[in-house]
Amino acid sequence: MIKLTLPMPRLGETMDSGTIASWNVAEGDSFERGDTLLELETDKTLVEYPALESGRLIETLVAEGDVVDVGDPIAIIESEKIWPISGVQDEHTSQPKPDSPVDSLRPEHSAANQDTTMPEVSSGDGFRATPLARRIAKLGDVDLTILTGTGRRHRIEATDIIAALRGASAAKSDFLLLHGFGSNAMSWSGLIASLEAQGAQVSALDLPGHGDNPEEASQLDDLIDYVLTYLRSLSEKVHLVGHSLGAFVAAQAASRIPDIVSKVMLIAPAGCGPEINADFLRGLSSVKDIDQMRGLLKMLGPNAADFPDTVVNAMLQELSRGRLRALADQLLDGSSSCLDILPALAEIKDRMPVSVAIGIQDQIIPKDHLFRLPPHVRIHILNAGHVPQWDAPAEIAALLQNRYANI
Amino acid sequence: MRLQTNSRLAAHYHLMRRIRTFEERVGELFVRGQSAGSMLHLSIGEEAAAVGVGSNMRDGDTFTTHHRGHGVFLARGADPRLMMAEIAGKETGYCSGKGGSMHIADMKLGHLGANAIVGGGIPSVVGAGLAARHRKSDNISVAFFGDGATGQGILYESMNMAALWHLPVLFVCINNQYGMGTRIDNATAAPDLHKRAVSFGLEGAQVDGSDVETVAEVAGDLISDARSGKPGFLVVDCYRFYGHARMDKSPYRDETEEAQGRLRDPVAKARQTLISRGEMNDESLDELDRQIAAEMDATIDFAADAREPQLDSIFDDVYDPSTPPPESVRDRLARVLGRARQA
Ligand SMILES: Cc1ncc(C[n+]2csc(CCOP(=O)(O)OP(=O)(O)O)c2C)c(N)n1
Ligand SMILES: [Mg+2]
Repeated sequence: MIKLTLPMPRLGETMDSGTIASWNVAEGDSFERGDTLLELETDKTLVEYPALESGRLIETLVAEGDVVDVGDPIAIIESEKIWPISGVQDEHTSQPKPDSPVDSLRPEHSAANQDTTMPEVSSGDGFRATPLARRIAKLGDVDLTILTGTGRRHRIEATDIIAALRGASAAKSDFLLLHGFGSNAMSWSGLIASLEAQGAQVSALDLPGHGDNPEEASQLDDLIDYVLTYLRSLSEKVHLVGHSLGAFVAAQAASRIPDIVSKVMLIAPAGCGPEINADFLRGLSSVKDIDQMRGLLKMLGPNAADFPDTVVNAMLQELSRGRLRALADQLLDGSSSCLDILPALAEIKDRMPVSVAIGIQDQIIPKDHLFRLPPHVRIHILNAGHVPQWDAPAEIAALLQNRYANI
Repeated sequence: MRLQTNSRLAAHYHLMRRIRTFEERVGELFVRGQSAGSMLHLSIGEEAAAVGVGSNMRDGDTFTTHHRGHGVFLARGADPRLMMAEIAGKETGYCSGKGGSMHIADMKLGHLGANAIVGGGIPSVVGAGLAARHRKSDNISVAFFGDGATGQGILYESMNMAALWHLPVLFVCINNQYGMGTRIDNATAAPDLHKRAVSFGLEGAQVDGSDVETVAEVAGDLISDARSGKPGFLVVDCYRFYGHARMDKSPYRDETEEAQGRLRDPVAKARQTLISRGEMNDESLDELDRQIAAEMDATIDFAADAREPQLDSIFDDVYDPSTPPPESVRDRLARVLGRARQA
């Protein structure tokens, strides 16, 4: 038996992503050649994905309802033979099989060519838009069908979406959440749910180099510029919330365009001093296997130490692509942090209230950094690790909603 | 691969199983991303129509199929490797990879062409039947099409002409209950399709498509009548096991209806009958199935190993080299006008 990572198949010429409609085999169960492993929705139709060989489903990497790009990993299976579709990876070598017949046969179908900078996509829904435009449209809830693109042959480009966002009163959020280094917008899901339950509108971005954001982050400014672009598209003031590196980005963005920010909440902010767990940062940017990933998560706090395999694997899959190496080098000088958040905090001193939340068990950024914060900043000390929104979610939500009446 | 028995049913089972396994491999070809195009229509569940009719045809007989015609062509002796290569769009395919699943044709085996236009292949067999009669051969021509084609006027024009001229023609309607997402009872108020043929002066019959022996028997009678100038119309009643094409899971169908429909399985039924009559047993049938699986696995390798058609062959096989090129308009005008002047 060999262990294989199955990629999202391309079932139809126009398909570039699909929604997982259902998993028809449970984790741990065996299947026969021809059995339907999962059903997926693409181009408005429902398609079955039959097993090409018999085997066993070890683990699903994506859940029902997830939208997955062609070529991205969807499951880990055990099988007698390597499956003859492009992008299937043998877990031992973790390399796409160079002799896979399909790769040599139809190079346009190989996962390596699933470049997110592909010029355009017309995915059966009748209009043409770049993948980046589609993603921004999704974030900002823009209806692509009513837009006319300015690109070649009326292709909708990212700039068209941003213009639409700016022009219309469409984009409005109460909270904008910025994740930390090596994380993504999904990391906020618990907090988003409790804020939304109270009726708030919440947006969370995948910063460049992270999550589904196709833009790469070669330098820190890429992150800040991205957030600035997004903020400029908003029609109303937003409560900006940043975690760790995202907190640094939030402070920079707030100092550049303070008019659009009502308040800032910095959670375990980076940049209050040179000390930082550099091994953790470098580890995240170069993580290779699941044990290493688990070791890193342990440093984050009690909650992260107990993540189920599916979550850890998904993180590993994302980080092992190595997108963050350049950024990690920028952030660190040897084993010290190069960031300084204090000038930005000084600039916004009279413009908006700023609060900081720090976990006393933080193993990434020393908690003593709180003594360097200026007096106009409110400081909340929580019994948590580096990610208080995981370890003390109720407290963070309460702080954001101003539910502690006396502060 | 040889059958160890002389049983006619065993031969039918063999052919139907080959069709089914071939179609399953076509489905895999699509999942591998190696098919030329994604409109692949599988005839799983309809094997008895192909085999029951096909086994009564002879060398020299011709036929056309609809878009779901892989099974019919296999039943008429196609080499599955060349078919798979064609479906993969490869040079070694029946049409050098230029036709694909829906335009496969081979004059040597009498295949006048699959046709992607619903009803499109039907009138060709009237022409082929007329040609057979002109040549004084006893060959027939058979049109295979779906229930959806009964909504096309060309079927009725063709039936009328075949009956009027007593042509050696058989119309075979494979009624799998669906035209894409529309069930037959939503498409017509008179679903007894064979009765329509009777009113045109043809012999009409309907058979249970889960029973290959009955299909073969009834088709045999209709075909021998057709050879003597009495054209017929046969409806094979069956169920489309899967979606319209590989890209369709048919979410518009009721699950219990699907489960019921898939019980009408001609392959499973033939297998049971062979066992109950003691003509074959589980072991010999399993061994046969294994050989067929190996044969069909090889078709995928055959297709994968071949090249795509080369650019310099783009005009090959487009015009029949045995016919002179069409006369130019200028030459034709000169000829016609010249003749008029002489007159
Ligand atoms: C003239 C024409 N109209 C519509 C289509 C689109 N179309 C392709 S297959 C199909 C359904 C055909 O149903 P049926 O004849 O019952 O054949 P089945 O697919 O069930 O084998 C339709 C409507 C077509 N190909 N040609
Ligand atoms: Mg039909």
